[in-house]
Amino acid sequence: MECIPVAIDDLEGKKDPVIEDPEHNVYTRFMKSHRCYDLVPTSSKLVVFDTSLQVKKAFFALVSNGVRAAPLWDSKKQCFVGMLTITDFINILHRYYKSPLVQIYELEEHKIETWRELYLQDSFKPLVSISPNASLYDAVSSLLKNKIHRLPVIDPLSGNTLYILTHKRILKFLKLFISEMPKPSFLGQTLEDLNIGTFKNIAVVRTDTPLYTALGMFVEQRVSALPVVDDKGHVVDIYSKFDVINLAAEKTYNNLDLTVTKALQHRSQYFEGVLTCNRHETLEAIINRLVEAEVHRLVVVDEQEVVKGIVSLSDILQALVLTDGEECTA
Amino acid sequence: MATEKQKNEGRVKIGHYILGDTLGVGTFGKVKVGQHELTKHQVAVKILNRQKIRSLDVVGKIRREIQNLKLFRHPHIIKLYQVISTPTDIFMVMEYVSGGELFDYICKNGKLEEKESRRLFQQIISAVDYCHRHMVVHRDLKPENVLLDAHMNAKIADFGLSNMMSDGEFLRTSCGSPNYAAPEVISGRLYAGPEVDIWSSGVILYALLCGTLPFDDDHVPTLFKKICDGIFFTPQYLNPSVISLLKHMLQVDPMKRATIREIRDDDWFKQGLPKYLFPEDPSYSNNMIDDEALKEVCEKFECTEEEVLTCIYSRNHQDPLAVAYHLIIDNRRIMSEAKDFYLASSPPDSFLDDQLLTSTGATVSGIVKPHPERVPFLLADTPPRPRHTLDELNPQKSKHQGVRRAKWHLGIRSQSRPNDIMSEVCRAMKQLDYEWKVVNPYYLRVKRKNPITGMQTKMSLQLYQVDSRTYLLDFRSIDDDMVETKSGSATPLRSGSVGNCRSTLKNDVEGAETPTTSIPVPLAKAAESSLASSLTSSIDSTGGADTAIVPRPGSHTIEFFEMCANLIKLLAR
Repeated sequence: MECIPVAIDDLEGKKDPVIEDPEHNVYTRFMKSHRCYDLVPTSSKLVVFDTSLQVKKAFFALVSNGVRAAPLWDSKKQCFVGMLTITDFINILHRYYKSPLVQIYELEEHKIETWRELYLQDSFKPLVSISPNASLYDAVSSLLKNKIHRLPVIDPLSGNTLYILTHKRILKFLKLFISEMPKPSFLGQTLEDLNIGTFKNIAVVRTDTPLYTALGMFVEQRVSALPVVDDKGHVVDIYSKFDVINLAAEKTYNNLDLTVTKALQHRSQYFEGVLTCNRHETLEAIINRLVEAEVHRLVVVDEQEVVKGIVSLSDILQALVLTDGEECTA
Repeated sequence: MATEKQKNEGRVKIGHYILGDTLGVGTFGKVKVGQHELTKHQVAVKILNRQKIRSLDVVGKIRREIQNLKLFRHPHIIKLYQVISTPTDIFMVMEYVSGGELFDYICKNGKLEEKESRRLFQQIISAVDYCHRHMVVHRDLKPENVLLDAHMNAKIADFGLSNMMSDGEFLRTSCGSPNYAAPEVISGRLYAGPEVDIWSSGVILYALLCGTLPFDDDHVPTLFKKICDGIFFTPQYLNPSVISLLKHMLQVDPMKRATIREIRDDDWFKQGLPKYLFPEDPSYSNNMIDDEALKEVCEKFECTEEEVLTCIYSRNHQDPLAVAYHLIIDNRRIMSEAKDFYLASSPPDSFLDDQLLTSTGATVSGIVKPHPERVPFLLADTPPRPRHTLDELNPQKSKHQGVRRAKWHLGIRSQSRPNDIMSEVCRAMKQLDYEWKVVNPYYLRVKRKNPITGMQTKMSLQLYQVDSRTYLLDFRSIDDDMVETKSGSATPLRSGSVGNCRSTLKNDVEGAETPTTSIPVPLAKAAESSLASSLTSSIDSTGGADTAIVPRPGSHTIEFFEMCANLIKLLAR
């Protein structure tokens, strides 16, 4: 304990000699001082698929196990080669869907390996993973840099996948300690001031947009959720990539002509409404809401509930961890 | 004309068949000849007394098994055409062959020539192999059950029947003819796997070649002893290469006994082997579901496609539904190859006729109303299976509605005898090239070198007794290598104690020599440690521990799972 000041001086002296606010990069330092291992729960469920499994079965297995992603094991190469996520399901549906009257033959036929071969088109994409000994800072960087949402933690000693790291888990972990840390001033600033979030070209769907169109937006615009708006642009619901897996659960993927509203009916009894915020709320308030509601994003609306933007966990982590203090406070 | 009519009226009619003379009395009841009232087509009708069939509460299961026997289609297996059920008896309408029993033939003509013996033996092994691949063990093979057709081709009867009797009943009834029974059968072991048929086939081969039995004695206890000793007389005229095959098949230890595969690879056996007897191994890839076969199973078993698919997907190959599905696919494949059969050497003449007969029969019954006696039989007794609904797939819904979800366990349950389980396991491991060490008869340590990663995967197998009859073989991963070679470095699976974690944290802070090789701490423990101190220590993950450790190729856990899966797959076959 006595050594603390020395260590801080050390860090400060070497890395950031010109910064005046000593707390500006407190979260960056926090992330650098914790390992991915710290985030791995004592016990959790991990589902691994062999790449010779049929894609259809794999998606059903995701549903029945209540997991959103699974590392892929190539038995021939004897190593992990990638991840199977809902994005794959969406890509398959979008690529092969013809009409409600035609069964999606490819969904029945493809194995994970044949699908990947086709999808990756020979472009070698090694599995992005992280060691449990790597810092959380590295994990955040990897998630943001690679634009991925699932980062498997692979133990170099056993080669085992220990856990799948997500933005949500990292932010939740940070939130556990946030009250104990000195509070940087930018937490009290608003989204607008900090310019956090996406406010241009927001992809939205209307209540009567066909599901197939929505899937196309996921594929082409690479967004993870689409606010559902009415005629006046008011947000009434949100259709996320995660909702697509329900098509597998209910085996209703053969009809993608139905509307987004219809597709969202299944969760009507659990759904508590779209989580929104406005641009004048502080970053701190936004973080609290995201963590409490355990959602990946908030829809930014104006006073009339008209969609103005989206603020996601990626945006938040980018701002808190990767951006140097100046950009936040500027 | 009038007298014939009168004569027929006085006779029992089963389905459209008028029962005639008794052909024989077997383990399961009388066999009578039957003649179709219109076509005069001759059949054999086996009359099974219901009392001989094990506990009636599982009658539904037996019916599915019998139903499956109807799908068995092999040139050297007596075809089952129809099953008719009454409250007291079950009538099995089967193919009739005119050549009689092989037993009688040998008694009348003495031993056969080596070449002729081999021809029949090849046919028998082909039939046995076919049944084993479809999860049926004969358990009561003997020359009395091997029939001959008009062209001296072997036809095995009664396949699958012994499975329908409780083991006690089976042993009691088979005591009349124990000469062919394998040692493990007469010594009262309840488990009788495919290897008992190998033994019996060996006895039949001996009988073919020598005209006598390898084990024979009027005094039953002496006979039992002879069988269990496994010593038999080999006449001088026997070809030395066939003696070694006989010895391999008549091994007392079922573990050491020849397998079908080994017999097929035997040089003596391979001579002049007709191609049709062992067509290309069908691979039951369940990657592509055959819709036609699926529909056929549903029709025949009055079940839903989901039920069949569940069986196939869960690789529950022993379930009658899965067996039926594979049989149908197999039959179609054989039909498409049937032309080659004709061209190949010694095609059994009746085979294609049978195919024609049954396939037209099937289409007729599909269009025209089904046989009156069959309809209530199947409808009434199909046991209700758990329905696999869409909801079950949705974890949220299944929780809400309390639908039973799949249970996970890694192991094998069995009601076989513990020694038999272990010998089965060892046999399978041998086939998989695993090495093992016997710690005690029910606890083995197993290792396998991964040919790709070069890493060794180890596991232990322990047999537990669950209740008086059930045993559980538990698989456990052994990862002692990791601890032994890397002690002290970061081993997340074996996290350090709290004390340990504190001291390493302190080390970091003090900037000691090894700041980055601290033992990672579980989440709760990290929270415990003072935040201020953790803030100060920065983890440099690009240097330090990670580069020092060369990542292990492969994955220990997944390789363990693969090791288990391969073993389970083989054992489930």
